[in-house]
Formats: sequence, structure tokens, C-alpha cells
Amino acid sequence: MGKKIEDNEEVRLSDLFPGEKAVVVRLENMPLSLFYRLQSMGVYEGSRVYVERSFPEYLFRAGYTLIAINHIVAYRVVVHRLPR
Amino acid sequence: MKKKTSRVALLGPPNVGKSLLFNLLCRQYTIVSNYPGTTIELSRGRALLGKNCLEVVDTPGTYTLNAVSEEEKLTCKLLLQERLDLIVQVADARNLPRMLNLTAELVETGIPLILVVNLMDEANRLGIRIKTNELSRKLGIPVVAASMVAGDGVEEVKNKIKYAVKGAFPGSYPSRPRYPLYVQNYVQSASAKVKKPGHVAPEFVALASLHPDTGLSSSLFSKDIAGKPGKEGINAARAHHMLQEINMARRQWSKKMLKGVYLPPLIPKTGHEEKISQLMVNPVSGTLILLLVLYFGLYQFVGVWSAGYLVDYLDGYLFGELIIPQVEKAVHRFVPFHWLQELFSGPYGLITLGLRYTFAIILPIVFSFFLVFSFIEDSGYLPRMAYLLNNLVSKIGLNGKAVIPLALGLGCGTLAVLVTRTLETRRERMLTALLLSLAVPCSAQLALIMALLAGSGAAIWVWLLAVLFVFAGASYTANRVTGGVTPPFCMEIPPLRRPGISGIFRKTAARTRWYLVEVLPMFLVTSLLIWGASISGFLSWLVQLCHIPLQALGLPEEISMVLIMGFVRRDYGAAGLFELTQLGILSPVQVLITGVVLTLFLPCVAQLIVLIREQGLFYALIVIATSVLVSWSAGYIIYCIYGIMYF
Repeated sequence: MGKKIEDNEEVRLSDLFPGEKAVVVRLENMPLSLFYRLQSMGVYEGSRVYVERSFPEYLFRAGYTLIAINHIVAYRVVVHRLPR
Repeated sequence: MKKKTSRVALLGPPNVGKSLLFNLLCRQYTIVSNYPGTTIELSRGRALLGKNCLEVVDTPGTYTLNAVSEEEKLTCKLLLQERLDLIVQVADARNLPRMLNLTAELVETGIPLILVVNLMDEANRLGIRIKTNELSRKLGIPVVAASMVAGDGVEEVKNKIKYAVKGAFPGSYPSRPRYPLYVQNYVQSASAKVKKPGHVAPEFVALASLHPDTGLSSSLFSKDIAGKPGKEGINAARAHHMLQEINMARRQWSKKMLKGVYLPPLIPKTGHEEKISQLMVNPVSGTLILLLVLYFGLYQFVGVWSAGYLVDYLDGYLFGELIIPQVEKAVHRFVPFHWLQELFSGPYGLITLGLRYTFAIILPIVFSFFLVFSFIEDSGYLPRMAYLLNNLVSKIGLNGKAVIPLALGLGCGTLAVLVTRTLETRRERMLTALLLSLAVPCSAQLALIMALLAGSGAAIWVWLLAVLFVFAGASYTANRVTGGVTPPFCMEIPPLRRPGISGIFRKTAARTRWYLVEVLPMFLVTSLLIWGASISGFLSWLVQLCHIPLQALGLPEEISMVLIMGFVRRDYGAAGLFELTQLGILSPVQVLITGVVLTLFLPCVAQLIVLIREQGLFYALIVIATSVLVSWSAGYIIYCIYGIMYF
């Protein structure tokens, strides 16, 4: 039960560890240009992401697209963690 | 009557093969690479398909028509300001779901559209299947599956273009996304106010008017394009909300179009490229790879082999022993006056200086640098380097994307200042342009200085430390002055690809040709001007004037000439320093001081012109003043430290 609640909790992309999967809930408090850029790369509400690296910056996949972002951007991507 | 030339635009996201298609259609070469932002300007060419003569326009990469970066704005301007007969959208087969969002936008322009699904070979390797005929039927536009690197599908693309410009698909009614009713009402009322006839459908203009901060709306509604439809009283928040609804509708439409058409494997496949990529982005192995690339690619190949052995052979033997003596003999025999003889074979002669510097000293270095750089570019290493270094460059107010123009600046600063356009904010563009002008030496300058200092023990480390110190100091200060913010970093990392030998040589040849076209006339004109100044006595006055501040650095009068030449072309100045050193005029410490001053000195004329064009005259003047002050101060500090240590 506890596990299920944790899985549905909203977290930041920056909270995820390499190897974790998540579903994007929303992109918040970011410049419009960045918002549209991420959307056009396939990062939008409902899309699935897979974190490959979290250091030196965040590296994750959305579909077959590999995207690099820094902590500032990763913090603004709100996600639902998916079970491994 | 003259037949109308049809205009075809190639559009699509960065790094999907637009420039390659352009090359194949026009049989001319524009640079293609494996990183986003290779094309930064519109390239135009002519293609002859059957009896149709077409004007083909290659555009910078565009993810969306909500123009975000400078080069995306260029693409949008093209759509709005020029009559286009056909758009060819080039898409990445692997990422087709997100590619169709741009298709949805392009369909709304009302301009006939062909979709080229490129990189099919890579999609096949990953186990993705795409039914292009079915997709074409659903979309209501021609769709071609292609793998342009291998030449697959290119003929079909040409045929489809040929038929499309003849109007062979008049009955096709492309499928369009369906928007919520209130969006439809807005589009209807706003599009009624768009001045006709425009180059695109008024509905497209109405939808684009919702993007307030991207600069697109201002270009849309200038009088000569379409006329202002007004915002219909909606505020920014409502416009943003509408855009969200629109984007969601487009994504749903894209999903519907791809249902049963785009079939990815249940378990994604990975190749050995993936493993190499992992090594490149790992901080430990990635740093090691970066150091190896710099050491072998830059220092050993360009610095030691090319600027050392190759230049020694070309300059010392080929020109020094074979060509120049023959030229001198011929000139003395056939040219009557001494002053005229000087024009060809004097110390600043067209042949002895202009041609020799170009072909014997600069060309081999530039060619070898571009060869290494082409390999790095085509492999997809640069974006990984940008990822790896983002954390470091964010300390100086830049983001990882700036690493690409900075690395390119090690080849040619002029080209690199142009590439700063790929950076999103003006602040980042200005900062990067400053660093390029101040502390990033171009390939010939770097290689010659490395070759000169390599044998003098600690000198090369002093030079490197001085340049790095100025780089860090200037970027830190500029960052503080401009607010000291850490910019967001968001970059697509393309897949690693094995670079093709022919592609590397074609690109190196194209870049070298571009370089020669720019450099050779400038070198010859410089030789001519210096010759004129030398004959008239103006040169000796100028040299004496420049020598006043140089005396404080313990440098001889001859160095003034090097700096004057260095202002015309950085590499020209480095070649002058190389020659003075070969003649044994300078002591090792003088070579070191001149090397530092020359590296940090003014950007060359060509770079300055581009800098003025990109950032304005005022900013260019600030860069000039900073360069002069910093270069002289750095030279003076080294001179003082040397004095304290040895006297």
C-alpha cells in the first residue's frame, strides 16, 4: 500500500535516480520558450521519461529522444514516479 | 514568356538531414553535421528536376513554428515573407510521433506539403516499423520513406517534388487537427482581419498570433506581410491556455495519424554506439576522452604534425628553396623598377608574403584542423561534450550549448561568432562572442604558437595559463556585470554515428574552400597595402607608433608589424611571428610575450565585421577596447614576472 502511494506521489525530475521511469505531470514555472522547446522534444503532460544520468547534468529519454537538461530545468518538470 | 521558377523550402527539426537533401537536390555542398544548429542561415540553390527549374531553400532546424531561437525565427520569416510553392518536411523516422506536431503546423499554412521520413535505416536498426503508404493516406499528403545517407528514397523524393510543383496533387485535402470550439471561434474572427493575399493561410496567421514572446507575432503582423488582426481582447494567460489546447489537439491528431502506422518494438534494441555514448557522458571516462581528443586531435595532429613538420616542409623547402628563389629571379629579370619588384618579391610582396603565408603556412594548418573537427562533428561527439561541460561553463553564465561555438572558434572565430546564433538569449550570445574575440585563438594561430613554444619547456604552460586565466577572468566579470544568472540548459543529444570518410573530406574541402575565398583576397590586399605603406614611409611611422606601448613589454620594433598584420587576420600575424622566430630575431621570452599578446589581441577584421553585424557597433567597440587593454596587460605582467625572476 505504502509503495503504491509513493509511486503516485508527485516528484520533480531532479528527484529521480538513474534507471528510474516516470510520467510527466506538468512543466511549471519556466520561460515560454523553454516550455515549448521541451514540448517539441516530446516532454509534455502524459509522456514517459527514463532517466539515464543525473550527474554532471540530467540526461533522460523521452521516446527515442535523448535530452540533456540542467538542475534548474529538471526541478521544473513535475512527474509521477513509475515502478522500476 | 519566362517560365516561373518554383520555390521549395526544406523544413524540419535540427539534425534530420535537410542539408543532405539540399545537397542531393542542388548538387552543391552545404555543411552537414551530427549536431543541432549546423545550418544557421537560409541556403539557396537551384535544382533541375526534369524540365522544372526549382529554387530550393534549406532552412535552419525548426522543432516548432513557435519560434524560440534566432535561427528558428529565420524559418518562420521565410514562410511568412516569401511565396513558397511547396514545403518538404524532413522528419526523423525514430521520433515520428513528435515530428508530426510540426506537420500539423505546416498543414495549416495552406502550402502543399510532402513529408520525407528520413533515417529509416536507424529506425530499422532499432526495430521500428513504419507503414508510410498508410500514413500518406491518413495524412492526405505524399509521404516518402528515405535513408538519404545511403541514397535510399532520394529518387522518389525528387519525383514527388517534380509532380507536386506541377500541381499533380490538387485533389489532396490534408487531414488537420480539430481544435476546441472557442479556439475555432478565435481563429475564425482573427483570420478575417488578416490582410489578403498573404503567402500563407489566414488561419495560420491567426494561430501564430497567439505566440506573444517569440518575436514571431511582430514579424507576422507588420503591414507589408499580413496586417494586424489584433489579439481579440485576449490576455497572455488566455493565449497561453489556448496554445496548450492547440498543442494537445495536435498531439492527439498525431497519435491518431500514427495508430497502426508507427510500430516500435516491445523491447527497445540498443547497439554498441549506445555503450560508447555512455562512456562519453560519464564524467570520468568522458573527461579522459576529451583530453585524448584535445591531445591527439589538436596538439599532436594540428600543432606538432601540421604546424611543425608540414609547414616546415612547405615553407622551408617548397617555397623557401624552390619557388621563392625562382620568383625572385624572374621578377628581377622581367620587372623594371626596384619599387615594383618589391611588390612581387619584397619582404611584403604579393608572392613572398601573400601567397606564401596563405599556402605554405595557414592552409595546411586550417585544413588539418577542419579535418579533425569534421570527424568530431559527424560522430555526434560535440553535443556530448556540451553535456559534460555544462556544469563548468554554467559557472561563467553560459550553458553547455555555448561549448559548440567556442570549440568551433578554435577553427575560425568568424564562423564561430555566426554560430552563436544557436544560443537562445542575447546575453549568452554576447558573452560567447566576447570570449571568442578575446581568448579563443583560431586554428592557425593556436597551432603556430604551440609549435613555437613547444620546444621552450615551461613557455607553453605559461601561455596556456595566461589564456585560460583571461578566459576565466573575462567570463566571470562579464557574467557578474550582466546579472550572474545560470541559464537553463536544454539540448537534444543526437545518436552517435560512424562518420563517413567521403563526408569528412567533402566537408573539410568545403570549409577550406570557404576559408581560402575569404582569406586569399584579404592576404593579397594586405600585402598590397603594406607594400604601399612601406613605399610611402607611412609604415615606418605606424610601426614606430605601435612600438611605444610594446617597448614597455621589452619587444623589438618588428613585433609592431606582427600586431598590425594580426589585426588584419589573426593567422597572418601568427605567421609573421613564426617567420621572425625562424629568423632568430626574438628571444624565447619575447616569443612567449608576443604569443600571449597576439592571442588576446583584437579579433581579425572579418570577425569584427561579423561581430558588428550580430551584436552592434557599440558592443564591438567594447570588445576592441577590452582586447587591447587585456592583451597589453597580460604581456606586461609576464614581462614583469620574468624580470623579477631573472634580474
